[in-house]
Formats: sequence, C-alpha cells, structure tokens
Amino acid sequence: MVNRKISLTRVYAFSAAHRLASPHFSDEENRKIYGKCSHSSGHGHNYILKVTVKGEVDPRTGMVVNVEALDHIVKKHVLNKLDHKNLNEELKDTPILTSECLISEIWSLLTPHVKAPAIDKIEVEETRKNRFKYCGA
Amino acid sequence: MEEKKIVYLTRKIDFCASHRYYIDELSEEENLSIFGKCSYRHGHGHNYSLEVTVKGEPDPKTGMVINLSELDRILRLKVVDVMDHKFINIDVPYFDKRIPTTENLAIFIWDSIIDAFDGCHLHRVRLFEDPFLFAEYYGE
Repeated sequence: MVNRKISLTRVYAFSAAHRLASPHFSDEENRKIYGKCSHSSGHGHNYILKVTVKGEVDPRTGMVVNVEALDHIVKKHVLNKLDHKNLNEELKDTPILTSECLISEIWSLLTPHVKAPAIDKIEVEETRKNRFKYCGA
Repeated sequence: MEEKKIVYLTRKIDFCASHRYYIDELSEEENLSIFGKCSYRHGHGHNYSLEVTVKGEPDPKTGMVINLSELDRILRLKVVDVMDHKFINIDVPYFDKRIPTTENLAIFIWDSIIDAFDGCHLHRVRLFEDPFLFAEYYGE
C-alpha cells in the first residue's frame, strides 16, 4: 500500500456569463474572430469544473484528500466568485474570457489553497463540445 | 516490418454496494469530524461505475486488443461478483482493516484483476462513486 499514487477527481458546476472581445481589436474585428461570442451584451454557459488531486492514500483514513475539505476550498475560492456572475466583471484582470484563459485563472485561484496533495490538473467544460485541460505552467 | 501500434480499450461496468467510513480506534465524534455523514452507523450505498482500460497491439488475426467477452468475464468474476449488492466493509475481506474509500477500491480492483490479462496490459482503473467523484489508479 505504501507509495501508491491515486488520482481523485471531483466534479463541480457553475453558471456564468461572458463576452469574448479583445481590447486589441475593433468591434468589427472581434466579430470576425469570435463570431456570436462577441455579441455586445454577452451570453452564458453552464460550466463544468473537474479538479484532480494526486497523491498517496493516507493509511489511516483511506483517503487521498478529504473531499469535504476540497469542496469547501473550491466553493470558497472559485464557485462563490464565479457562479451566477459575469466573468468579465469578476475577472477584470483577464481581458479575454475564453475558456483557455478562464482555466488558467481558476488554476491561480485554486492552487495556492490546495497543498497536500497538490492539484494535478483541472478541466473546464464550457459546453458539451468544448473541453479544456490545464496542468500548470 | 510494420511499426507497433498501441491501442487503449476501455470497458464500463456497474455495480451497487454499501459501505461505511469508520476508524475503530476513534470515537464517533472523531469519525464524524473526519468522514462526515460517510461515518453514519448503518452505512450507505452508491451506484458505482467502473471503467477499466487495457492497452496493447490489436491481434492481427482478430483485430482485437482483448476479447471483450474475456474482459467481461474477468470483471464479472473479480469485481461484480465480489462487490455487487454487498456491504463492502463486511462482505469483502480486503476491507476488514481498510476503509473502503473510492481510492482504496480503485487499488483493490487493480490488484484483483492485474494478473488476469494475457497479451495486453492493464493501463488504468477509473472508479466513479457517483457522477461527481472518481478515483483513478495507474499502478504507480
């Protein structure tokens, strides 16, 4: 049982609005690049967030991580901030809220608070068709 | 000579079981603080969903990495017959002294089936306790 590495993944959901428009381009250029995602008043998604931690199983508890504690951290640092919010308003330092940029923002929000075991990867599903994975820089 | 082409094949199988997280040496309050409602006295249950991934070269004659009926037989014999509609803490001797967390169940399933494969390798065991929690073990 010693030194075996297990990955544990917890799945969360949040719903948020966003608009894709780069400050580097005009409205017309943004429309060309982002299509209907650049629509001026925004739109929204039901996002799925998957958080994977990887580590050794504690021989006493049988757990890699206390799931309730992980839930608490994800809720406090990500879900409370993003669920039923407008991402462009909540993440003002990230001018383009594609899921590529969003996932690295979520990584930054979350990883300082999850130490033992550390987060191995996170995944964001924007829709059933778009999935993104990030394992850190 | 044609180069080696490795294919991963995943089979899903479900089982339903009950369990309880509890450390005998600790008080009920201490167990409650570690495991929450998973420590409740009479146990609770889940619909588990197991994904087993094997890897190997497709057999040039059959085109298969593994014969699915053989894989199904292994999973039924080693996993489903052992745990389906059972109380894992009581009915599975491996968990006499271990807590049947999803993590430990993934390791148990790996250890139970690892020697059963011939001509392909077990790559991953992924066990869903419910749609929102799964553990993966790669034998590391």
